[in-house]
Amino acid sequence: MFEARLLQGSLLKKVMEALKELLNEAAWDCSDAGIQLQAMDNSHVSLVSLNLRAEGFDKYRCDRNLSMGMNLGSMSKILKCASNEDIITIKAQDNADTVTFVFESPDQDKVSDYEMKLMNLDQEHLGIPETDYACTIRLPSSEFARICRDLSQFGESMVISCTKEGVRFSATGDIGTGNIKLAQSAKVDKEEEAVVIEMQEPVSLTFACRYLNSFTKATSLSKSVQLSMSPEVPLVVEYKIEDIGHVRYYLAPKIEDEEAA
Amino acid sequence: MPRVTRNNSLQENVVDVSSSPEKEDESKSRAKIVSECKVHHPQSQCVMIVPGSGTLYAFSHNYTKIYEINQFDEPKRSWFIDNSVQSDGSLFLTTSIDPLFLILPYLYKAKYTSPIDQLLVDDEYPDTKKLTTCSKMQDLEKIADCKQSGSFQAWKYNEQKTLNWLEKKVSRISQHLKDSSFNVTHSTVSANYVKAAAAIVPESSFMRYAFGLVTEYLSDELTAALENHLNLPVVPKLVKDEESNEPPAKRKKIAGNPNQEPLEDYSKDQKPLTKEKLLVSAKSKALASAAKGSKSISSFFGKK
Repeated sequence: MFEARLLQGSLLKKVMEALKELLNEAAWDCSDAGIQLQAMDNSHVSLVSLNLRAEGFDKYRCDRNLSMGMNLGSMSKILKCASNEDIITIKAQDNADTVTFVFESPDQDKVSDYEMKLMNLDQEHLGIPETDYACTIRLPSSEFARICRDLSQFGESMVISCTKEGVRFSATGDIGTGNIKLAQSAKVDKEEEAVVIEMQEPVSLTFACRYLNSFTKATSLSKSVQLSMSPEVPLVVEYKIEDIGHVRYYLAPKIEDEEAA
Repeated sequence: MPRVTRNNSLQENVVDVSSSPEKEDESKSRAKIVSECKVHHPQSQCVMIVPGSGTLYAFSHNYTKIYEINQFDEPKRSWFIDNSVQSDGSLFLTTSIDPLFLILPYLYKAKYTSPIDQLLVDDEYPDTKKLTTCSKMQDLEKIADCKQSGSFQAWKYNEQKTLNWLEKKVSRISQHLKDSSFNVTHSTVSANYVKAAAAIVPESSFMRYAFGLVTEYLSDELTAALENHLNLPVVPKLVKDEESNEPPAKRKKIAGNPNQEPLEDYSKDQKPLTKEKLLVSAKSKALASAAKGSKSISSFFGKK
């Protein structure tokens, strides 16, 4: 028997938005510790990793480890039936082939439940090693979304280069070039609005704008986003979900520039 | 006893198969006397099958008789004529024809009572006026009313007279067919097949066949009128395959039936994808194109 009750139903709705852009279906692995999801996009260039800890839920019960394959399109449709204020409970029997979503209005006068068929997904899990990144940049998530949106107009790929002066995002295309430079904030009023750069060595990597734009669908989950880069390893874009976990996107860098050089 | 004669004016070989005694007399001078002319075929007067195509007729020497010319042509056939070979092996058959059949459409068309030489005016076929010499007054009276003042004769078409005249033609042909035991039934019968008992062929079958022969020279309107006049029995229509009581054919005929469509048609477009599917595929396609130039993420992270 699996049951997870989340007081902030809107959170799950936002998570859904953050996932369904890249993934069509995914396996939700439920264990005693919480819910985890790891999946690659169809092109196998990016990886999405979601972690929702058990203690973040109002009520969490997981008798046996459970992997629920879900069609994210269908799940998104169901979650759209829930209002933002609703309390969402996810329920499943052990070895069940369906999952039930229960939406309760805050004053308990409306309860709706939806049952969804599960899928048999044969997904391989990747082991992500603990890495000390050469650069980590923390910036407001809305700022990052804005940069990605603006620069994707110029070209298909974006260069993120981190030096001790700051971080530079640039894109080149048919219409011209765009450069956005962010320096570390001098004084910080609010922690989430700060631009914080930690750098061991300068790094410059190229990424596909379209993927970065897909990652920014998670912007509503968190006020700030953390980018971690090291030479020739995937970029990590992490959105922390307050009190419960995080969504991490891994994106392989583009190698075309090196080939051209 | 067909006879081949060299005919300069026709530039063709004319074979006369008619065997009436009076024609035998004329035949000696046939080579000189026959001249060709083009005249409207009576049926094409109303139904212009091939516009402007006249039919070839032959006149006798003094323009008192007119002959219909039918060509019988088979490929790879030539004539031996004396010591030479005529490469054109076609055969022309001349049969005498009642000029009234040729005059009838002009008479039918005419609105007013008018003399015969004014009736037979055809800009397209000026030879038509030669028909005046073939027609005698007593012949014309069979199909038209005559108004006479002195030597001036004017004619007006009379349908009743015409139908009576045609009826006589039909009955005479029918009688002839009967006498010569001509096969008028639908099915073909071998020439060598002789029935032991006299075949019982209804009178109406001969009438119907004769009617068919006569109406080959008549316009559609007149054909309909004559059919009405003769009160011919309705021809039983051939029963179509679907209506027959026979068990259905084992194999469905596809080629024979134009209404039958093939079960599957690959030439037509397949069912278009739904909008949702298209949207998803377009999005994933764009992502796939954006993924170009990147290594697979699984090459960085080992499998568990």
